[in-house]
Amino acid sequence: MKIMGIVGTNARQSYNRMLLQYIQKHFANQFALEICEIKDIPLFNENHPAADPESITVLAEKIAAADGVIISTPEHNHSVPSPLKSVIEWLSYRIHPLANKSLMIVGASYHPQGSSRAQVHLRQILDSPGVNPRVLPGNEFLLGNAKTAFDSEGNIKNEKTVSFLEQCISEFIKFINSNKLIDQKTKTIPDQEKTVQALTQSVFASSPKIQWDANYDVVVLGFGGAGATAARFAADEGAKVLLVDAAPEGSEGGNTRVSHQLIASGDNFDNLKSYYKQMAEPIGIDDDVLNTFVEGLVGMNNYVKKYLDVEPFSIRKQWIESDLSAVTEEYPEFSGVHSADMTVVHEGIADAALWKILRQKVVERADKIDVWFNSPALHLIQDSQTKTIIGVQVEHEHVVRNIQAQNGVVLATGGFENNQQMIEDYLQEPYLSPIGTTYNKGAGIKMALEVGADLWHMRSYESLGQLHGLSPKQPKGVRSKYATNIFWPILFTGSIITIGDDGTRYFKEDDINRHGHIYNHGFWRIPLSQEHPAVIFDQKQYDKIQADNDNPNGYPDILKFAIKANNLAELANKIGTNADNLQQTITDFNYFAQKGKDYAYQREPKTLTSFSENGPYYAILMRQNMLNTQGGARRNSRCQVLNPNGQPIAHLYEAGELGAPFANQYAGGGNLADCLISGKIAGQNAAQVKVDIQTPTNTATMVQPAMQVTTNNLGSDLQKEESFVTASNQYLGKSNAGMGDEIVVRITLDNNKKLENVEVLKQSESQDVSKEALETLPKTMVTKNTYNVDAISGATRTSAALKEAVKDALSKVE
Amino acid sequence: MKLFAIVGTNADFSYNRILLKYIQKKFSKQAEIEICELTELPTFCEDDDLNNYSELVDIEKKITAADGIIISTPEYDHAIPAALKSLLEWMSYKVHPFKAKPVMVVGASYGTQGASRAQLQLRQILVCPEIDAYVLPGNEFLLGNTAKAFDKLGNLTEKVEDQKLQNCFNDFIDYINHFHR
Repeated sequence: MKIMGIVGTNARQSYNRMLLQYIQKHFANQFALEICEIKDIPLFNENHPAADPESITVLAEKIAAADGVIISTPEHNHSVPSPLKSVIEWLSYRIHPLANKSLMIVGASYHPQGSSRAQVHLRQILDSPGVNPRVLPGNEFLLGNAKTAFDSEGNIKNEKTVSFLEQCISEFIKFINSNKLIDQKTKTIPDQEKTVQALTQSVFASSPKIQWDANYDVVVLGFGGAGATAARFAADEGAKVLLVDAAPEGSEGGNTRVSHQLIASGDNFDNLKSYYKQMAEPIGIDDDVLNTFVEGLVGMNNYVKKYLDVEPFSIRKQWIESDLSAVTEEYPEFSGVHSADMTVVHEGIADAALWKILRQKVVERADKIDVWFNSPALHLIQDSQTKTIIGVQVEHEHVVRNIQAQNGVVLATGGFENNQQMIEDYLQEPYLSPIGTTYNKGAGIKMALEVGADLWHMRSYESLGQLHGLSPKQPKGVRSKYATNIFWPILFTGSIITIGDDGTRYFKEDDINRHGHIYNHGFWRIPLSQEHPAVIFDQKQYDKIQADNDNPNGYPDILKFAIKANNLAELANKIGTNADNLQQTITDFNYFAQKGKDYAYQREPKTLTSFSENGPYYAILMRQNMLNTQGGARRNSRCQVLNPNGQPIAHLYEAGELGAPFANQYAGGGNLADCLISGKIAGQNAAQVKVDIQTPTNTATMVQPAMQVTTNNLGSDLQKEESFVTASNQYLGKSNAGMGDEIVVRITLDNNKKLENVEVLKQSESQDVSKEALETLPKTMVTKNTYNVDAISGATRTSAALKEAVKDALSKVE
Repeated sequence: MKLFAIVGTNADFSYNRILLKYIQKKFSKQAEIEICELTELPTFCEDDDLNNYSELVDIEKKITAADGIIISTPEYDHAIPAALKSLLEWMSYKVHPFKAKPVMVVGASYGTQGASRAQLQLRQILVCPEIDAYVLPGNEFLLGNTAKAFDKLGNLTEKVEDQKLQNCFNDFIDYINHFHR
């Protein structure tokens, strides 16, 4: 917030100037006060000069740009000083910059009255039609006996006086904000009336005393695709933003970072709306929300161009060679599907390219966006009377901090893929193996519930990969790997079946699943998952898989998960399933293969091969994997979070995976598109200035020593400067080819100019999959004395980046 | 009797100037009225010295020497013009020629108000301790709709207004005499 302070005198020494300087310093964390001197402004004259003096036009421009004006007036002869009156005359003659401007009067004088009569005159003067600012009523700040009021550092000595000034200023800020809101309201958005009303009522509400540790306009929870987008657009609306993520630096990015980077898009509103509506059926979807989303899809290519500054690449139109073009039609039987497309930010997928752009947009705004890594949000802070969200409690560097959010909080914490309790409660599923981020723990759902939000889409979730999203079983908490390309026929072609918990088959293994949804009597659903499903095959299938191990569509080294047994009973025993059922299932399957018809699940005849009569047999224990959830707080098309009565919870917004607009069946790219669409809407709306719900009581607590802390806020993790030292035999190299931010390495050469050491100085790659590459590749490079070593499987991007960085360093060796 | 009449504005054209000229002419038999212009005066500044400006020193002397002062003020933004206020500040900071000086307030405006708010404010200002003038009570002469108030020769056209001005002026002379007694 910017405020102009006008010193009401041209005198060299002025207690009114000191008063403004004190206000400037004392409220530095709430607004920037620019102090304007009037000494050089000539005395007003109707006729001379013929145009306004430059000093007046400059002042008028500053006033026009300011959110408010404070005039500090002395009292000369029971009235305002003539130089101040002169300025007001200039500002009400040819130009009228004060019109409708929020204005506050303060004043200081040698005498006990504290310029009371001058202030009354000033009010009368300001009321005249040519001047016509909005003068803050009441709140008369009269600083009498000015000579003894200040200490040697220019601070007001009397605590009660300071406290009263704080109260007056707090009222003034509220006054400014409500005036803005009224202006906004009269300008646009008639249907926001309800919210406006609610907000206006909240002005007078009381709130528990809160000791704030930092103050922002907007706080965004979650630094993934939606959070990065919300923060960026809030900053572009002029907000000072805090962006926090539970993950440490390098593991932020949520599911956006690890996703395929495919953004749903399309070319026809009506077709796309029909397509998405059919996907939700038979579940209904809010029409307003759907329209907003579909508008976003139609505008996606422009969005990518305009806001991400890259040329959009169409999967459907430009990537004809790849089978990915088919993926744009995930539900080909639904009408309107031919209008669906997917957009990527360059010709490549699964390489974090979109994420890196979204992250960069935040980094570029580091002056307006503070970022805290490793800082989980714990609770929203809600005004007890008005239910308005006024801040967030965040654990930052192991300290719980109360962060004030003046205009809004955006929940962008992703889903609950890693919250077992919620998976059981909402999905009725056992443990599901995460393939995305491990930091999505449903924090946003908990926070939304605490403040009275309604929930939606809780039962919807997505899987990915083969066999309705089954991945080889990993220890709990470890990210599951999955076959990147969805089609590896060897898992369902031959003497191979998938069984459920009781040893029997439970689905058509060769069904091409749709984000884990398989055909179920007219709809596609993720089946209730099994606790310990397994893929069962015989020796000849084992040999076929081994022979196909290098298939790029395959799962690397899947056979190392294989459990071997000499006969089916032993196998059933080893994997804890019912031996009779397994035996019967294989017998039946062999019969189907022999008949060339799968009577149970209609698997393609040509994929059916009888199991060998004799062992050995094999089992690979699987897990239903978890790509992402869709549940979260119910939101409207403005991304406001709604309570169970459908009313917005003031100042609370939501974006991205948390409470995404997907109710049932799902087509790829939808979630990333929603991150970009809802992130922008939520960020922009959160940034809008609202009526301040601060109450005198809670403002009063801000006056206490905590104020000192808030002045500087608590810094940002993004602004840490790096400087890496090099000795004469050391060189730095960089690469941007990884999954995260820049990788920086330092190489050390021995006397023979051979690689002696490779150190990774800076990286923000994922901590799990990339860890091995970051640890082992440098050693291998030293041993082999070259950057050109084999990539680590599963971490090809990180490996490539590391190689590029070392190559870059080597290129600097003379 | 010597009166000193201050035109309350620095504007090139002013009905308050015309009003004072009319007063000067109309009451020339009762008093010698000198009209004071603000046009070239510096803005008041407490760090500056009045003695640097001969015109201010001159005004101070004339106020001191006068038996009474007439101020005719327009109304700018519901108040007296800064130029007039500036003169009053000069005349009440290091010097105080207005002290116990009889002052009559009149005013003219384009609108119907006749500078009523500016006149009220001027009365409040004139009684502050640093000025401490003896302001003629009552006798508000508020000349509204000035564009039609004067004829080509600068005479008031409305007899009622003219009579009212006469009454006010007479009271002012009585008031001055009262203090001289």
